[in-house]
Amino acid sequence: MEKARLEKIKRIFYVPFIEINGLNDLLELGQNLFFHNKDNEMEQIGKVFNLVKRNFPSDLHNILLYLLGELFDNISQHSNYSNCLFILSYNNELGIGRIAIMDDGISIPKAFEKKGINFKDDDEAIEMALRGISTKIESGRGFGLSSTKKLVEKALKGMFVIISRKGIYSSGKKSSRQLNLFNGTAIYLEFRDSGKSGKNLNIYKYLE
Amino acid sequence: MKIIKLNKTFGNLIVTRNSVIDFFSSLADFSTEDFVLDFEGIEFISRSGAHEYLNQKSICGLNLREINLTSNVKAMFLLVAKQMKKAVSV
Repeated sequence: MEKARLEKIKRIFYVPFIEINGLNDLLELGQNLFFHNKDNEMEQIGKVFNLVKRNFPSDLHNILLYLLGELFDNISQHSNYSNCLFILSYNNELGIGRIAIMDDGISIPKAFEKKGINFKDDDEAIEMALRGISTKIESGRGFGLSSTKKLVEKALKGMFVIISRKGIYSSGKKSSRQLNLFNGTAIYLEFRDSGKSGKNLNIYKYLE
Repeated sequence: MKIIKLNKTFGNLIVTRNSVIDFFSSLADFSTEDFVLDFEGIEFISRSGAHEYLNQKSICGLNLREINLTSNVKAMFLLVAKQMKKAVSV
């Protein structure tokens, strides 16, 4: 991805895009969380999950693994990406967790177009995906993004942002413009761990 | 009957649908139709992974029995089974 475009995306998120706790994390962020052409996909996912286990409080592991599992499978199944970047951070002092995932695949609106699913504009395509409309027809599909949004916003009381092609969804905010950043999809999650959010959290009650 | 340790294929995580589909395809290489799938060492299965597992299990025509599921993995299977039932009944 061009440097100038990446800078533009960083500004959209309004927060430091990369926050690291130490040199090891820096090395891992640089070396391990960049997926390219689906090489060693499973090995890379394993590394992402291990980073979560090492850097996030154990109370949050269950919910974060669920979120990452859904988001990653979504990318793997639908986006036809060449490059995918995961960025994770957790600030121990403030208890703020951030996860960003970007891919240069076909985007949500394009995936809908390819399946003949109609929508007004790219914002609406994203909203439809968040409501559970899927390009796959089997039962039990379409839960990935919708359940992720529900868990972030309701269980973690956090912020959920999706940018896909020219569309954007941001928790609680109405977009008034169509973006023109890149053709893939970027997802950003941010939440504050109050020390209570993950404790005894039964994620299944939010998912039924 | 063939016993298969899933952690030899998946490590400790089952995440993507594609990995589950590949695994079920590999079962055709065995001469038996009866399998015990040992989940020992599988710490996590994603919702998508569990959904694809149940989907493949229902269409593969093989006799599969699962053992050594952790409570987390079991809970995910139960959740997905409920969601699938709900989707069918809507």
